[in-house]
Amino acid sequence: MDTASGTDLLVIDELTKSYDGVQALRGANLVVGRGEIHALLGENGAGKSTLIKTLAGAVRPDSGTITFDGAAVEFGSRADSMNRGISVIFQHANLVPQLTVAENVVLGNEQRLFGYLRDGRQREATHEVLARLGMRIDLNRTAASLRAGERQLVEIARALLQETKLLILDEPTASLGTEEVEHLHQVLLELRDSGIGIIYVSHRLEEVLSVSDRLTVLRDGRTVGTRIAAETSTADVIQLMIGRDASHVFRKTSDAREEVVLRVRDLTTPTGLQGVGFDLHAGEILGVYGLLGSGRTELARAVYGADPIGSGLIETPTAPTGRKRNPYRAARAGIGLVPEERTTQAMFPLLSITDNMSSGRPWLYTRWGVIRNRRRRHLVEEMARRVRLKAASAGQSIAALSGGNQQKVVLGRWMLGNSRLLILDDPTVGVDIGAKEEIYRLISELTADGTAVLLLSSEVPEVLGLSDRVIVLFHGAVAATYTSDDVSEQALLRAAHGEAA
Amino acid sequence: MTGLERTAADVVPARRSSIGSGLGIWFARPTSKTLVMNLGILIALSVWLSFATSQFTTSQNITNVLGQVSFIGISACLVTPVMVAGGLDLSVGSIIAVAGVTAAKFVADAHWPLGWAFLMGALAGGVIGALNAFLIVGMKINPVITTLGTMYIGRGLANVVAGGSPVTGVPFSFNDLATSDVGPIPVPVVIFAVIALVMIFVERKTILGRWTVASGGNQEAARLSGIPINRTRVTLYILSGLAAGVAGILLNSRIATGDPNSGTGFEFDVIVAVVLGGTAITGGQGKIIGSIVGVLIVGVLNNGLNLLGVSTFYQYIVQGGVLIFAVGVDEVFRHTWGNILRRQRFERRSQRQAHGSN
Repeated sequence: MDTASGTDLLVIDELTKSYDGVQALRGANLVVGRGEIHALLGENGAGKSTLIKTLAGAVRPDSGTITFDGAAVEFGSRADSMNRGISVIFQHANLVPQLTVAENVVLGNEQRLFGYLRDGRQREATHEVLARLGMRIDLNRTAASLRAGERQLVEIARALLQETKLLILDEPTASLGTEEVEHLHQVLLELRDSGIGIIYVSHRLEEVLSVSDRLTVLRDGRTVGTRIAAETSTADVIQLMIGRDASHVFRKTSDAREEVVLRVRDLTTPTGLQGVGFDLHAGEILGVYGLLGSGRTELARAVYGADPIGSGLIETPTAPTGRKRNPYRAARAGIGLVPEERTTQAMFPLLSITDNMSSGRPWLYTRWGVIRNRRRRHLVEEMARRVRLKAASAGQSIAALSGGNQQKVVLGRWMLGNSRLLILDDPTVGVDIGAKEEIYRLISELTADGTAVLLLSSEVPEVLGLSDRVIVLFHGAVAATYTSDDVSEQALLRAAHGEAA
Repeated sequence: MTGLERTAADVVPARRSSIGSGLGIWFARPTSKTLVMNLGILIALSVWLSFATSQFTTSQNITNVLGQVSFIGISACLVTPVMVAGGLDLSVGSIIAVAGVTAAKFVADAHWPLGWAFLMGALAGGVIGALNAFLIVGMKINPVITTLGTMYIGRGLANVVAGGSPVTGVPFSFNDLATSDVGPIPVPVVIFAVIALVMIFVERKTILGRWTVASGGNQEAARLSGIPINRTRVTLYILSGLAAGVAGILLNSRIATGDPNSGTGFEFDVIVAVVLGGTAITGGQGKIIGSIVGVLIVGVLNNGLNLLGVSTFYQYIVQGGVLIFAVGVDEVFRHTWGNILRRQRFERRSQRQAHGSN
């Protein structure tokens, strides 16, 4: 069915890519025809974004071939792929907010006459394209003043002006309202009919099935199947996305105790949480699952005191409640956070392993603010042994370590001096399998000592395998709560997609 | 060696690079390379001057150079951590004037004892530092804009209080602080040395020192690991104001009055020395010892040019040229070094992967 033929616009064959030993793509295949909307699906971390980045020219594959428009291609840069007619529209619009609509549409493609911008002709062209997209807006408005849906259309207009052959949309509807989504779909169908190939990436399965012609599912960096959308149900897709057999996943016995360490009630925040509530007991692992934008990270940051809360209650026995919460007080009260973005939010790349690991609990090795070096070194080295850190020396820069070892340093930061509550936001992202299992082992060691763990994760097996209970977030609210014995992966995914029965 | 676990690949001879040893780690730091290079420049400059001029190596001239650099040095010891924490302090030059005028007014008009008057001068510097801290940390105004603003405000205040000209009616003893010696060493040099030693201790051995580098290196990570970044920055700005205040009373004591126009351009001398010494303008990197060497280079250079009879106008040009040259060479050096290290690391990693697949 999908062998290469004259109508194929894009053929990706056995693409592989690894980052620092983490295999992101292990043999991805994808065939997109001219005049086709092709959905690209998969769980978080299945390799979708790496595949898109490869097409955008932002990532070079390790092996495999890409045939585009009848010729074998290799993209060295973004410009390379754009020149061949590939436009990628990322989740967060890439418009310059201060520039006007007209300026944004022609950005990087300005027609110049000795540096003088030939405004008029371009405005005409822009006007035409926008009209084709059913958009009647003032070209002089700034991008910042547009609604999310309008911004998306402006980006599409820009792609059309550059004579795009393949349009890639990454989660285009994540921030759109229903009407806007419908309008976007209408536009996409028209573009398809004009012969443009479209790759559509989205977590919203119903939506995907209704708009696309075919779909391809990735799992663990491999293509596991291509289907005709009209003949496929959401259940089929979810089955394909999970596919694995759940038995090999880490299992543990519960260490949960009576004492409540964290009580959250009706938590509503400006960052998007809406009435979240739960209890977390000492020694318990509470898994929080949700798709991108469901409020996982927002919950982690609110509980830690990193972001202000709107209303509701966050209660821990040792830390203040309400507006007095902040990371400094949280850390003092025995609460630790392993943030989602390790390199930008957890690491001091210029500093040593010792400095990085000892930054969370300085009172363990200082007296009157003076560092007792021997004590500090002793603590860090002992912890390095406990987390099985692989490094040349404790004075080495953290930047030189692999992702897994960096994460062990960050985890060790909060294991120094026993945390009462650890908030782990996607702790195994970008971490190789070996380190992953060691992190799981450390988590269960911690709960055995009575530490409560709030485990926010984008990986279903991780959540199910480790947690005593699981809550599922959807659009900032708790969509479902399960004890991990009575939930299947399908049920969890359905709840996360807003389809709770 | 350190008790850390070693992988099989770690003991492959090819992996035994300099990264593992203590000295290797020290030299792998960009600040250390800059320090070594700057020490080289300082020594070369001194050796050249000792041949080119007859007076350079006289003890009187050396004392003279140290005396001249001590004012800038005192301030640089505190501006360095401010910049390492990701900030900037342009107000130090005006604080010189505010501190001097305050001290002189307390002696001349209020007839306070000298010691107390000097203390008030230094504290006036601390007050401006606190104002900087309030505006930058509390009101979240950009540090460049804030301290540029307080630089003008301070200069204006000093002139208003002094009436536009040096304070009159100051006793001769006002001059004693800066001109007396401890043994063979002038008081400003002693104070510079003490402040330098204390600040190097703070930088290396106290939690404030760690918080400083961490806040400048990655502010969000610092906040999320429970570091009180606001308290750290407030402390540093107040201390920077105080240090500039101390430099101000010393400098004005030397000219035996409170001069509202003293310290004009001082902030740039300080920043030149700090940046020359290897502190990153973007924060997160820099050492006080580096800044001290930077101060000495600037001091020796100016002294040498004076001894060679080069006019002040040319001195400006040379000073600007040296700054750009030193920082430029450093960038090139750092990049090529960085690339070599990166390449080595990459090769090691692929080697390890090859081993791992056996």
